[in-house]
Amino acid sequence: VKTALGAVPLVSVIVPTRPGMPGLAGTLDAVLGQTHAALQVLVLNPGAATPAGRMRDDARLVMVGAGAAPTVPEVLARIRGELVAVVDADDVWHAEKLERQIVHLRERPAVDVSLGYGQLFWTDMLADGSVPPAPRPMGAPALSQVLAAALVRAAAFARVGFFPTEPGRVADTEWFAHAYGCGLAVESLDELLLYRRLHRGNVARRLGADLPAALPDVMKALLNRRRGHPVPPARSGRPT
Amino acid sequence: MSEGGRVTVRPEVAARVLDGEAVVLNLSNGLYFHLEGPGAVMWELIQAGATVEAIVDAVRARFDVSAARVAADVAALLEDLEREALVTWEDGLGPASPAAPPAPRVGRAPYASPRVTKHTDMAHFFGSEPPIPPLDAMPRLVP
Repeated sequence: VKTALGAVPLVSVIVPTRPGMPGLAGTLDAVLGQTHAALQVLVLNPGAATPAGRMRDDARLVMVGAGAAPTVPEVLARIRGELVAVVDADDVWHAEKLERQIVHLRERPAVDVSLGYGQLFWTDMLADGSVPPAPRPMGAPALSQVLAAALVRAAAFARVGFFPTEPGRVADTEWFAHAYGCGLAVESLDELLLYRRLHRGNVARRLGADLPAALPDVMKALLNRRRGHPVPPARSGRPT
Repeated sequence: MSEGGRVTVRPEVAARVLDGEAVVLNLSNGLYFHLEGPGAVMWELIQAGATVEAIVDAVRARFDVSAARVAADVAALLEDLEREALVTWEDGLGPASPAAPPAPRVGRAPYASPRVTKHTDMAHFFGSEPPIPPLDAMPRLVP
């Protein structure tokens, strides 16, 4: 059953992190600076990170967990939005990302997941952990099927497992495979909405062998789901 | 076909055999495939680097099938896999081996010719994002 969005829909934004993850401040700045301001921002596992500057006083920001990733039920219990987005602390949103995707979902009530284009950019951190002022774009914008590019109707989580609560591209792929297998309608705007930050840490991680090695398992689970075989839930789990 | 031919899985292919089913993904185009039964056994042997001759022998040891039929099926399977850019197949690396003696029929499973089932529904998913450049190709930052 599709329901119309409210006049100013609340968006719950999930920000999975690891303690000491570089780039978190820039990511949160882009989230809190969205032109759509009705937000609830849940930063998972912030560790020792403490919001600084104007973020410290922003009531929309909620730090969840201290040194350990909260469980899926713990996260779900806090979500109040009718729309849910997730952004990795390596990524930065376009200032109008949520506004444009809300218009998309309002105009297309049968669509469960709105996506957009993303572009890689390279910003190696300076020695003090800060980001240089001139990031370098790499390659052309491309349809970005990662969770950070998505805006999802909260009702869709009753059909497919919730987002992973730990960062990782394998988990993104697994979630999308389950979403397609469950018949969620995914549609993309032809607009650049996501900037994906590359730095030495995440490039080394993404180039690792874990993604290709894990993908056949993801595809097997998708095939089993289509055949009606019992399959374990996505790593992220199902809402309870 | 020379039974001594060597088959190599292409580096952009990720595959696993799970529950008797081979799932094979071409990361360069997002197409994925599955093979069941004897086809999964053949894929597992291909992935392990077996020669065509060894594949034929191993399949005959497990399934109730003639050498001629399984040799023809392996050749057809390799053509399919090569057409989908999943393997490279170097034929004629050596003389064909003498025909293996008939395997005992006792305890062998029923045989069915392998079939490669192709799935295109996730091609857009894997094919959209540009590959991440190698780390040494990244620009050096001057602090």
